[in-house]
Amino acid sequence: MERRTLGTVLGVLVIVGLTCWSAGGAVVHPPGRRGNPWTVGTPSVARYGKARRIVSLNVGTDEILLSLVSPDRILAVTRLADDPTISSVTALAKAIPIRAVLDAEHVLALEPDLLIVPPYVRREVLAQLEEGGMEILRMPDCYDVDDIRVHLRFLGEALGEPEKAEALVAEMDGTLAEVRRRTAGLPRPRILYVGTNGDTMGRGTNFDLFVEAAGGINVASEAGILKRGQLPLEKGLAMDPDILLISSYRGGKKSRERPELTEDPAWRTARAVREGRVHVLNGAHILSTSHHVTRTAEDLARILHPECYAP
Amino acid sequence: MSLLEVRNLGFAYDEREVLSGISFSLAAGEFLGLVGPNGAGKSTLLRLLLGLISPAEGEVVLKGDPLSSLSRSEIARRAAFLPQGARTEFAFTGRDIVAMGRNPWLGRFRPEGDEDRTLIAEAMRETESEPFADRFVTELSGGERQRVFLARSFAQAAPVLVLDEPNANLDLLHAFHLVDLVQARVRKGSSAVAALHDLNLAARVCDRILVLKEGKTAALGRPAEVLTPGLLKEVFGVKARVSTDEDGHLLVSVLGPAV
Amino acid sequence: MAVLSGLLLVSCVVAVGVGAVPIVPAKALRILAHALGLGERGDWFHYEEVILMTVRLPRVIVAVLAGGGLALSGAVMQGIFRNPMADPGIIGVSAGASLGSVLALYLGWAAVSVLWLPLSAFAGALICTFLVYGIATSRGKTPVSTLLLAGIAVGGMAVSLTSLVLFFALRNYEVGKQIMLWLMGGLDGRGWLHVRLAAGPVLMGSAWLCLYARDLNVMLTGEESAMSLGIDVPKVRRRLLMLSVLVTAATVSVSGTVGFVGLVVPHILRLILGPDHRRLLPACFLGGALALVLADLLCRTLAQDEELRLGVVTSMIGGPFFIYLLIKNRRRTETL
Repeated sequence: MERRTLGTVLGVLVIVGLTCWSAGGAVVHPPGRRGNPWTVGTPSVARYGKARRIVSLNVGTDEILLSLVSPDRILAVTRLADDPTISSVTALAKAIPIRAVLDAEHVLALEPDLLIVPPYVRREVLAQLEEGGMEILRMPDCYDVDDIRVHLRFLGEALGEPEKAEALVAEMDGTLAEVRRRTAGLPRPRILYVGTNGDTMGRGTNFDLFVEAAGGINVASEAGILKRGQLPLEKGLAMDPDILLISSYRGGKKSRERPELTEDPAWRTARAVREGRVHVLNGAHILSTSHHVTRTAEDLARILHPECYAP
Repeated sequence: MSLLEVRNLGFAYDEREVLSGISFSLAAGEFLGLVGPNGAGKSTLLRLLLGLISPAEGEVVLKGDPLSSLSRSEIARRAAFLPQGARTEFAFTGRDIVAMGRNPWLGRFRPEGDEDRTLIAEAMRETESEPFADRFVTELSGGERQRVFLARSFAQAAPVLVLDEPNANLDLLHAFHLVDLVQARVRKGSSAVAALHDLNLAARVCDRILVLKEGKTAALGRPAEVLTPGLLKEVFGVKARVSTDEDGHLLVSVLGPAV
Repeated sequence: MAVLSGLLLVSCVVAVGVGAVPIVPAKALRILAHALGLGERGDWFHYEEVILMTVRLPRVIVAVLAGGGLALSGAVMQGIFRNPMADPGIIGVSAGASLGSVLALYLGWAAVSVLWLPLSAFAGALICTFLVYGIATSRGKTPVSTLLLAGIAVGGMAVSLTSLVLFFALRNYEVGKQIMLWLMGGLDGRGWLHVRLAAGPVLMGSAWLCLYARDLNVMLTGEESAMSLGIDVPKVRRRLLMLSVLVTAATVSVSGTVGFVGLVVPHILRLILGPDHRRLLPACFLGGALALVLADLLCRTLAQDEELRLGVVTSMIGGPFFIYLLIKNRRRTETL
C-alpha cells in the first residue's frame, strides 16, 4: 500500500507542476462589483483601440459595441442580438454579417483580434481559447445601473472611444432624469412584476429603481423582498397591486405553452386583472446589461402615467 | 522423512471448537484417507494443511518446514489442492487450466519454458485429459472437468496432494477412475490426503485412514483395523457389516441406523 | 490486437479532423507531423492548426485515455468479482466522483481554475472508495459480498447527496446546467490540462494492472484454488482494486460519468478473445479507447448545434447491445 500512496503523491505533484505551464493569449478582467482587478499588464488606455475584428459572445456586449464603435470593427455578434424579445439592437445588428457561437472551434476559426466573453463562460473553454492565442476580455457580472456605467466607461477606454462611452452614460442618465421630470409630483400607483416562475424583483434591483423613477411603488419591495426572489401567490394577491406586469421574454420555444397570467384561476380574482390593468414589460429592456436598460424606466412611466406621454 | 507432519492441530470458529488434537504424519508413497460424518471437520483439516486458514493451536510441517515460515508460493510448490467441485464459469481451455498449475514456479512474469511444457503434457497424459486440451472446460462433464483440474494439480509437481471430496457428484466409473489416477501417482513417490465419503473406495486405495468425529481423531490406522462395525456405529451412528470379498477387498455394507 | 490498434489510429486521425471546421485526414496528418517536428509547414490556415492542436487533439487523447482506462478497469473488476456483469463504478467510484465534481461546480471552485473540477471529482472518487473499503473491512478481512453491498450503500448515498446539491444549484441556471451536463458525461472543452491530469494515473495504473494478468486468470478458477496455486488472493485483490479505482477515478474526473464502456467492451472482447487476461487486458484498453473515440465522434456529428452528451450516446448504444448479449447468454444462468 505504501508504494501506491507514494505513487499517488508523486502523481499529484507532477500534475500540479505541469499545470503551471500556460501558453499564449491573455485574459483581461475589468473591474466590477466582485472587484476583479486588472490581471494583465498595466491598465493602458485604448489597449484594444486598434482591434478591428471584434467578436462579442454576450448580447449585452453586442448592444454596447453596436453603439460604441463603428460596425466595420465588429466581426461577429451573438444570435440573440437578432431576437427582439431580448435584444434592443436588432436593427443595428443587421449590419454585422456573422453570428458567433460560444464554442472554441467556431471562435478560433473566425480569427478575431479581440474576444469579449460573458462572465459565465466555462473555465475550460476560456483555457482553450487562451491556449489558442486569443486576446480575451472577460466581462464581470452586471448587477445594476452603476455596474453598467463602469462597463461602458471601461469598454470606451479600452476600445479607444472614451467620448462615445461618456455620451452613452449621459444618455442613460438623461433618460432617467427625463422620466423623473415628467412624473414628478403625481400620485404613485402600486405595481407588481410577476415573472414566469413566480419570481419578482424587489428592493435593490434595477426594476425597483426604475419604478421609483417612473413615479410608482414597487409592491415587491413593500413586501420586503430583496433583489430577485420568490413571491408566494397568496401574498401577491393579498397585496392587491393596482397594476400587474408580466415578462415578454418567453425564454425559448417551450415557454410559449405556459398559460398567461390572466388565465390563471387564482390571478383572475385580482383587482388589477379584473380592471384590465395587466401589462407586458419589455424583456429586452429590463434584462439588458447595456445602456438600453434605462429605457425600462420610460416603458414603466408610460404604463404608470400614460397621461404624461399622450401625443 | 515424512513429507507432511501434523502436530496437535486445533481450530476454532467463533469460539466453537471445530478441530482439536489432530496429529499424524504422511510419508512419501503414502495415501491417507480422511473420513467422517458431515461437519466432523474434514474440510477444515484439509484447509489447515494447505495454510488456507491458520490453526488456533498446533502446527503443520511440510517437507520439514513449518507452514507459518513458508510463503504462499513455497507452500504451493510443496502441496497441491483439488478443491471440491473445482470449476470456473469462464471459457478457459483444458490446457489453459492445466498450465495454471505451473504458476507457483513461474510467478507473475516468467514465460513458460520447455520444462513447463513437458510437465503440462505429462500431467494431461497421466490423467487422460489430452482430448480436452482445446475444449472449453465449461463444456465438459463433471468427470472430465475433474480430470482436467487433477491434471492441473499434477502439473504443480508438488510432492503432497490434497483432495477435498474428489468424487462428489461423479458417476461410478469416473469416481473410481479419478481415485485410481491419484493412487498411480502416489505409487510413483508422491503422497496424498483425500477426504472421501465412500468408505469402500477409501478402503481400496488408502494405505491408512484417519477417522474424524466431532473434530477429534476417532481412529488412525490401516483400513482393516479402522473400519470395524464398532467404530462405524460409534462414529457414523450406523449398523454395518464389514467383510472381505473373494479378492481380499474390504467390503463395508451399511445396514441401517444404529438403534 | 493489431486490428484494434490500427482501427484506433485511423479513427483518431479522422476524429481529429471532424468538427465545425472540417479537416481532411491527410491534412490533419500533415499538421500533426509538423507539430511533432517531422514535417514542414504546409498550405493550411493558421486557425486550422490552432483548432487541431488546442481543441481537437487533446480531446481525442482524453477519449483514448478515458475509454481505455474504463474498459481495462472494467475487465479487472469482472475478474476480481468473478462476475462478467461487474462495472468499474461498482464500489462507488463514479458516485463519489459525481459528488466531488458537483460540489466543485456548486461551490464555485470550478470557476476559479480549470484544475479544480477534475481534482474534486478525483478526490470524491477516492474518498468514497476508501469509505466503502473501510466499512467492508473487519479484522483485516474484506469479504467480497460485503464490499459490493457497501459499495451500493455508499454509492447510493453519494448519488442522493449529488441530487440534493443539484437541487440547490438549479437556482443559478448556468451552474445547474453545467452540473447536469457533467453528470451526463462529455469531452467538450477537454484540453491539454485534462490530458496531463489523466495520463499519469491512467497509463501508469493500466500498465501496472496488465502485469497481474496471470494472477487474474488463476483467480477466475476460485479463491481457494488460486491460493493453493501460490497467489495471495486477498493481497492481490486489494492491489487490483486500488489500481482499478485509481484508473477509474482518473477517467471519470475528466470525462464525467460515462456508462457501459467498462461493462460492454470487456464483455465483447472476452467473447472474441477468450478469458485469458494476458490478451484480454491490453485488448480492452485499445477497444475501450476506440469505442470512446467513436462515441465522441458521434456526439459531435449527430446533432446540429449542440453536442450530444457522451454518457447518453454510450448508454443508447451500449444498453441495447448489453441486453442483446444477456438474451443470447440466457440459458447458462440459474433460473428463478
